[in-house]
Amino acid sequence: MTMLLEARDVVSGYLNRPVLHGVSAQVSEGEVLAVIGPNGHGKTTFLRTLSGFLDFRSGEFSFAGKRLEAASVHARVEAGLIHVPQGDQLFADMSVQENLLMGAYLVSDPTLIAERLERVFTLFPRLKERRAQIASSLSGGERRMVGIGRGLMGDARLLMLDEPSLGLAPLLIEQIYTALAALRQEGYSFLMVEENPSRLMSFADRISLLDAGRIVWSGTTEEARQSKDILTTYLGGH
Amino acid sequence: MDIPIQILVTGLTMGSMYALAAVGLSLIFGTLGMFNMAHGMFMTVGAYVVFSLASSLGLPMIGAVLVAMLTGALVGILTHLLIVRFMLTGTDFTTNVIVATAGLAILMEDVTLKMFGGYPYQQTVGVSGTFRIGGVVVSLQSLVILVVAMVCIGAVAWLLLKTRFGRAIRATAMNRDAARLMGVRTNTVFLQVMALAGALAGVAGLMISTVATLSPQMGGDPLLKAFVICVVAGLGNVWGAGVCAFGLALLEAAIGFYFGVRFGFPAMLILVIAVLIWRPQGLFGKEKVVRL
Repeated sequence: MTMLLEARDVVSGYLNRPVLHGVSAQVSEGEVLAVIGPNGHGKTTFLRTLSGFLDFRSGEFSFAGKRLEAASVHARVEAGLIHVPQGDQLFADMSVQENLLMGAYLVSDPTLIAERLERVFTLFPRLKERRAQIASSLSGGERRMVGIGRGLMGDARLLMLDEPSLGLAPLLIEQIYTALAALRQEGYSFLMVEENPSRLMSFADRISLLDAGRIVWSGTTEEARQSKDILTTYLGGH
Repeated sequence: MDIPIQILVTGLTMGSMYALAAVGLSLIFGTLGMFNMAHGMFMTVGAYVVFSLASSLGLPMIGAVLVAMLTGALVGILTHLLIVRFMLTGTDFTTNVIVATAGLAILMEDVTLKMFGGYPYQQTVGVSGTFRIGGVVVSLQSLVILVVAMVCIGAVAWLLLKTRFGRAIRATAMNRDAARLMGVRTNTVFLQVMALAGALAGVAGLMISTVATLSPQMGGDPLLKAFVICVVAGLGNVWGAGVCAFGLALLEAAIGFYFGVRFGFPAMLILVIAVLIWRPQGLFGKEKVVRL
């Protein structure tokens, strides 16, 4: 398998407050890497650094064969690195359809846009019914669907999902993960971040545990299952 | 019947000019989060450049409108490139940029004063002639102002609502970070918004100068009124600003007619205070609801 995303020894954070102290991650084509760990230990910071919102203080980052550690947010999106942020961050006063079209902002071919819109509606039929509804009036689950659907409208090669199950009822989490599994079948790669790893055990290929800005454990999902004590120590039992 | 017609004609003419000024001001506020104190000078410069060109070369109305737009857009672009751009990511942007653009306005006003002197000039372009609606004499220039404003605001509405370009502007205004995640170059969007709002201000300045006179301070009063309109509508609400511009102008015209022109602006201010007490977020503004 060819390497799609490779981050090495990433150091970054906010002004006067370093958050990541040398985090590495690799995702091959078609693979799912889940970064788990307690809240406030740098998971979101890691994704925001990879998508270009925070500067690399040091470390290397390549994606799809391009060195991107100094690239603009825009250039990373163009390369196919799509970040679906925590809390969805929808365009509140736009309709569902307009939100989705924003996801295809860098796509110029109208037939391709129409195809992708249809595909999102097939994946989340609920959104088709609500395509004209204003985003701020949607339920939490519908928002999540728009957030993920919006990420699928561009030329994504890898989706970075920040807590796709956050704040959702178990049934909705199940729906979201069913959709993600379908996307996996289509060949998407994922770098996901979750606080609660229970659902990931049947979805991720590999798991990394991020604690206090460092990766403290890394392995396949199978290995994670066997060394459950490591995970429970950090995550307080699941 | 003549009195309501008179009020309507006056109100619509004033409303057109207010709307041109307020829509641009609101667009800048909504997208960049900046109150542009130099917006009045964008108008003044538009009017003076048309005046200079028309005095020496002669310009038809349509040419004058285009020149005013280009001038306003250019001033907007320069303001962004030379001043605003450097402050955007700094701390206290909203406060700093008010001071910076206020300073720019003073500078531009003094340069205009130096170049043209303080005497009020008569704008050289304009349409003469009148027509009647019932017993009311309406100048053709009023009609021109209404049509130009409608076309400009209609074009901006179309741009914002129906095009990919406009969608990117609205997205940036609603959620800057999310827009960047979609691949929008927000710095380019800011520049485009400054150009667009500048163009509207340039036209507003030209239109105002055709019914009033040119003076270095001519932008002050419309800026104040545009600001009042934006606050009443809800800061950053572009549609609300357009609607409120006409509403407040009609109110001002009615009060001017029944009670005297000098009560028009105080009445507007009282209304603002009332609105701010009753609906602090403005008539069309949304209450900020925090969702967890």
